[in-house]
Amino acid sequence: MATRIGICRSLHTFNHYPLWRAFLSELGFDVVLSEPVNRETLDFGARVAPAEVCLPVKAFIGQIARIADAVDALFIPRLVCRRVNRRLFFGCPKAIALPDVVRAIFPRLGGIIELIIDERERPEWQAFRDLAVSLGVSRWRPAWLSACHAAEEALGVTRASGSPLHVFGEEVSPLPTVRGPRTAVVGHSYLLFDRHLGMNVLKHVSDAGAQVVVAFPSAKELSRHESLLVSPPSWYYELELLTATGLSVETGAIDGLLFVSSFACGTAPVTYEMIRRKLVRGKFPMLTLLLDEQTGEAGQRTRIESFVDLLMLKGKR
Amino acid sequence: MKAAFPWVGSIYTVLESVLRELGAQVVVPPQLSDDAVALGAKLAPEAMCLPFKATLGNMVNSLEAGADTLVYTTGSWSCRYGYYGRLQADILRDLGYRFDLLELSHENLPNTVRAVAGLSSGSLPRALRRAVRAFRLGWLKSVALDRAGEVWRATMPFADSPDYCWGVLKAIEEEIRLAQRPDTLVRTYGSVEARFAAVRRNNRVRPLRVKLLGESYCVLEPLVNFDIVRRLGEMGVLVDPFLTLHRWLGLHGLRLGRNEMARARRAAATYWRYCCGGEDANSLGHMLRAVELRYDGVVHVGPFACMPSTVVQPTMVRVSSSFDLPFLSISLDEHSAETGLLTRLEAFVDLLERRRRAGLTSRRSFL
Repeated sequence: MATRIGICRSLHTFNHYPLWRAFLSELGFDVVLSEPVNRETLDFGARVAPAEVCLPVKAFIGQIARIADAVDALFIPRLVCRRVNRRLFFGCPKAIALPDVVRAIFPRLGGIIELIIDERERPEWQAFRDLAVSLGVSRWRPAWLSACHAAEEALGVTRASGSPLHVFGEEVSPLPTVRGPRTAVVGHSYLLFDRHLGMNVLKHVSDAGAQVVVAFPSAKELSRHESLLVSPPSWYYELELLTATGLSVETGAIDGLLFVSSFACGTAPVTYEMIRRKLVRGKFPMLTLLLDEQTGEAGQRTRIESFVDLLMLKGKR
Repeated sequence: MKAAFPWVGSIYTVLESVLRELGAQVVVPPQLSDDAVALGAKLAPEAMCLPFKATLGNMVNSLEAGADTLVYTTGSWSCRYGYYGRLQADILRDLGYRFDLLELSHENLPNTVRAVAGLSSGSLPRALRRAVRAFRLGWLKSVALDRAGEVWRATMPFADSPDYCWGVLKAIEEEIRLAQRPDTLVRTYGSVEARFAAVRRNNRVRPLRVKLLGESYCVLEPLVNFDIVRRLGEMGVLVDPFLTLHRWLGLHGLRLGRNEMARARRAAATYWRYCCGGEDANSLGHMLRAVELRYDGVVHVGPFACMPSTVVQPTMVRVSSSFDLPFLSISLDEHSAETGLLTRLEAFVDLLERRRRAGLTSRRSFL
């Protein structure tokens, strides 16, 4: 029986799952994706993780406990640093230290497969190759290469503005296109597309009668836009958010902006200030939703509805 | 150029004289206060970390006092510290202040040199001469301050009156602040030990030893950490912070002491493979060193929701339990109150004393 490798369905898995799955299954492993986050996993995560870490990390820790017994090893990437246009962009400290945190919280946990993406040391493809080699695959067997090809095809991830969004290979339930105010929803993919953590934000916006605009820039857009930003953030995933917002603002295609972040997210306040002061500049209304493990969905829904109402009133005037 | 920079501990004593020697006017804002922190908290994004809020309030005070250039140290890495300069500049400009922003970083070296040369009306030889003098004076001040702090910390648990001991430190610091010439500083430096030796002793023999770890600002700034070193000293504990202002300026500013930092990181490597931007790996390394040196306990301070300090916590807890080393983690924000902190410190010191009486020490190796 092939070795089963577990991947948690939270954090950056939302961005990179097709690539990781293609890579691991091409190497001959069984990839097991954990169940979506639910109340139980989140409660467990909140109990064992330090109180001050952000919501998605708590969910991640909870999922580890859930999936660990069912698999032979866990796949936990370390997203240290990526290069865009020769500039370095880092992961947030939590993304960098994730395997160490997991080891500290679950000292008895067996195999952890670490994919270390640190483009200060080596390009991303080499990180995959080295991981394949360390897993006992010959350097000359181009499995990692075909894995990359497979991933390329599976791409469509959460990317490409224009084309429909895919998360975990499924098209995100096509949101009915209503003729309402165009509302950009900006937030990490692991919040927007996670039903439990994100509390169906996208659905509520669309239910309230607004047109949802969610954009995740492609690599090309990222590098083009990076050169336009005066002082881009030095976090990769925040660059994504800022680029997405920048693209929407640039084309003038939105009437309002909904910024979704989670409690104790360290990067969010910085991104928020950058978006608010550099991009929005009072041109249209902006609302921030802060998610934590206690919020009730009804409360968020009320806020979203009144925000959309406000956009509609503004549109009529 | 009327320069101002964020207030950390007694940094003004050092940088004021450096900048003055370089030819800049320095604006010394009113001492960092709770009001300044509250002001910063009002202007900053809510979920931002405490040092950001404190320094922002501090900068508003400096601008009100007439500063026209704000100097920040910066860099581009994973911790929010790298954003302080530009983010605070944006916030302050939106408030209507007008000023220049000078970000000192290793990536921004040409601008820094240009700014310094500009102070000597563009004459490079003159700028160089001034720079040498400035750095000599600054360095001596920093060294003298560091020495005074070190001897003070070592004397505190033995002092019959901790308040008097504190007074001696303040007097020396004031002397260093006012000193204008290297020889005065050398003299002060030489007198430090004798002046603390003259402090009347109590009969304590072997005080508890505690290592102070955490985020740099919270370790260095007495206002936000409620003077934790002094408080612990008053309780008869010998505190050894892993970072002092001199070491902070040396390690991060001038990139000295790389060896020591590398050693700390190497020690931490079993538990912590990548430093994620703050003092995480460094703190952890010093914690493991504290195990080796048989410290009685470790106190970790950091701002609420600080990314590197939060993320390293589970690992510290694990080190603490596998080596049986008592560990207290304190997170600070603008709502923290002194009494709460004191209660926790007292309880922690009680625990350490009880362990000492029972003959418990940390294990040197992982069983």
